[in-house]
Amino acid sequence: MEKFKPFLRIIVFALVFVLVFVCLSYLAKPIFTDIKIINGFYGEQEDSLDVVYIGGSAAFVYYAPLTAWDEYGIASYVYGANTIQPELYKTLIREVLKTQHPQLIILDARAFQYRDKDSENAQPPAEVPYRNTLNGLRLSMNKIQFIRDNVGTQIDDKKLSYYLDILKYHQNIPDFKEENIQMLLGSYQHPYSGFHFVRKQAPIEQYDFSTTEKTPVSGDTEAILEDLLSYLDSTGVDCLFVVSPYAEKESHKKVFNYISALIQGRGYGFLDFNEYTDEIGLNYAWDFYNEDHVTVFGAEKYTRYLAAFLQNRYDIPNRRNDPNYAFLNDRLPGWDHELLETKDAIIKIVEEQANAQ
Amino acid sequence: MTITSINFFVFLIPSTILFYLCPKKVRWVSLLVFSAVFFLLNSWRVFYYFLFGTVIAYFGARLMGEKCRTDRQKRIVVTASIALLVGVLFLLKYINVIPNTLNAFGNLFRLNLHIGSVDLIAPIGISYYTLSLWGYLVDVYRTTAQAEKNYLKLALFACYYPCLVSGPIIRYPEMKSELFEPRPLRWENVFQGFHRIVFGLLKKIFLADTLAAHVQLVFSDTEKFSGPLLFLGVAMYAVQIYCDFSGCMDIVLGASRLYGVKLPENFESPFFSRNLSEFWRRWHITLGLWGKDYILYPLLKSARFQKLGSWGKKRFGKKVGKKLPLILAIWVLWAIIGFWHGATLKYFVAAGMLPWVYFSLSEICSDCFKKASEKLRLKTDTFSFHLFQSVRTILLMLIIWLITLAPTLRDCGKVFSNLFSFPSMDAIKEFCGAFAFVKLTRRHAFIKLFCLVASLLGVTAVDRLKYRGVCVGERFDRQSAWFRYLVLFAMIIAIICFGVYGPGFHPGEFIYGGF
Repeated sequence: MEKFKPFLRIIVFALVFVLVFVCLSYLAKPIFTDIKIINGFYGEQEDSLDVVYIGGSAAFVYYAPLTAWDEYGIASYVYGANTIQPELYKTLIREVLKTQHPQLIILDARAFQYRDKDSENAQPPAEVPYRNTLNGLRLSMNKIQFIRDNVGTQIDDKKLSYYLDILKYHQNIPDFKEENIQMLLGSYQHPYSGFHFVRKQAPIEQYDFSTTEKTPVSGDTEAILEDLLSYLDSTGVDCLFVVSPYAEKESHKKVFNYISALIQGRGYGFLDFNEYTDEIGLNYAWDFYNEDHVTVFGAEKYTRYLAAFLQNRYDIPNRRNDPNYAFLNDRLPGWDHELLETKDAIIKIVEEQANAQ
Repeated sequence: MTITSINFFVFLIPSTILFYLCPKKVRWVSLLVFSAVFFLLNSWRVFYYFLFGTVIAYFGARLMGEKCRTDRQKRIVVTASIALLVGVLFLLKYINVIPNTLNAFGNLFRLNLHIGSVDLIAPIGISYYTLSLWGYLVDVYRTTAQAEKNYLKLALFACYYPCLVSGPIIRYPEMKSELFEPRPLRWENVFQGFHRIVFGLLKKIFLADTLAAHVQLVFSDTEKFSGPLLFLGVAMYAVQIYCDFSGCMDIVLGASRLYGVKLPENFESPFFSRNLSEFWRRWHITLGLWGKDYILYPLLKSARFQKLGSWGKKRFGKKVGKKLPLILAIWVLWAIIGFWHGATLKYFVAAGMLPWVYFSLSEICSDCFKKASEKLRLKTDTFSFHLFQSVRTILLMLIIWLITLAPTLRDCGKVFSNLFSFPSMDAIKEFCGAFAFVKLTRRHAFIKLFCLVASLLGVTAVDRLKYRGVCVGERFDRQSAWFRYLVLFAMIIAIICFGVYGPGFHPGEFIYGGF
């Protein structure tokens, strides 16, 4: 026994060290919108989602899963992070399929348009967009594979701090929040199923974007799209690519025309909702807070239109009376409260702007 | 690969396991392989300088041991070998002193010489292994060591990788048994080595690098951060440089201990020293001892210095005559040490000449001090007197460090005068803000300050115990497991939470790593 005591000492130390390290890693994570949405997905009940809407802010300030639940009985989650890059879609879909078997995955197509650095509203791959998504993902082979394939190639950075984000965020540890502990314990749930409230409003201009011309995306972006489509083929999950309403311009539309042809050519749906703004009932003077994003008023209109479309076109079931989904009702009081508060705040902003004029 | 990087530990852990998996007799070969890999990973482009140095030392020593018949022959060989070794060191590290000095002189006479400097890459640890090989050659010359017949053993002695980063300067007679005798697995070596590494990381990554932010801020504008802030800045630098260098030594000695190889200590609680000569006996010990054995004593024993002593005795009397050669030999020693620290006039004065002035004055005045304390009936064996002496020693050292921190020697006067003015409130606020690398909440500030103070107290307590002659590592290992784990994990958590590492943070290079 004496002979094995030192080994035991080393093993005990290593175990305690790993435990401490993992705890500190979770306490170090900065708590922002993105990490809440990405990590909150793990809090969803297993096999409880019929629709998962993946994208950046063009998804999580647009689609309100709890409105879709309350009014259409659709069990859904909006999953993504700010300035998301399309190369992350495959990783996120893999993460989704670990615990859910959704009938439909909706992917925000705007990410393909802004990825190329010479596009007008370029948001090319960079450290921040990658970290926005990766910070919330649990360490798994899926996450490791993404880092291995993209960090150092798509962005010029060292991989290590993406695997171990404590290297980047360790000085946050003393400022840990309740959410950090919930994420550590695996009990964190997003209160609004991924939706993010923004208390802003600004009138915007609607541009004439109608064109049938096509502008190719870069070879790199096209390869990512092709790879994603091939991956979707292998999973058998149905997928719909969407462009949520914004101040779309002709140059953007040409890119969407190009990628929609690729997507539809592979048998997947593509919808540019900018062509349906009248049907949705969007008011450009009221329903936006900047050229790229809608307010909660706009989000409600968009969600209703999309939810109705999903039930008609994809037969997404109404689970409102299914007792297995009662947990979604528990989120409604909090949702209603925050929705009302945000609406009031926006009305106040508009009134103040009117008074100032 | 710095010794605080993850890469270093990725290298250290498997190499330790492999070391003990090797048969005992050939474990030194595995150390040679690890050291060669470490050396090549850091300096593969210039490894031939290392080969040159070791080949010179190897053949020089063997010539002395086997071929030389007279002392004169031996002296020629040892001098030539050392000259070649030092020549390479000078060429790689100090060659630019020549154009810089010529340009400076040219400027004095309004001549624009514009002699360009040379950019040569020096291999890792060149200063340390050059001094070690120099010592080896002198030891063979003095017959205190035998010439090593196995070149690979000499190569391991020169490139033993824990010593390559910042020393210590090792000696062949001491290290022969440590490096080449079969080293069985002793768990106390592994545990004590590991504890020491953690303690070193705490000192370097947390304490030294946190304080570095303040020091950099203060010395970026000494006019703004003047008076008490400037004093605090230089005091913090004293703690920073100590934690940096001794922390590095703790990691080095701990890493070496994992293999069961005990390296000589480089620090023994220097801030508790009663006077400057004690301070220098406790600060960078191996360099001090090396200088004494291989520069000071040979000089004092040389015929010219003996003659100088006799001349001094005749001319100035017995006391002065006795001290004259010593003071002159110490001047040579400090001049070399000053030059070794940095090939600029500033370092020559601060790290060379000023300590020499201190030492000479203390030698000259030692009798007066003794008489004065007897007349004043001072109790010199009390704690308060010890404290007074330690504070005095530290204050004298702060003057040296203040000069090294000044941008140039010319600016020293201005920096000293800034000590006696008052900073603005904005400067005080900015100074306090440098405490953190991220915007602080009150909770964060409190926890960080608590950890900083607790760690500094811990380092002081360990040094105090060491000063009393306690072997801290062994005593710590005898404590209960709960206590050991508590202390160890407290240190690990402090390092992880507040250490200066990772992207976005700029950990300081080891201050002594550049030599």
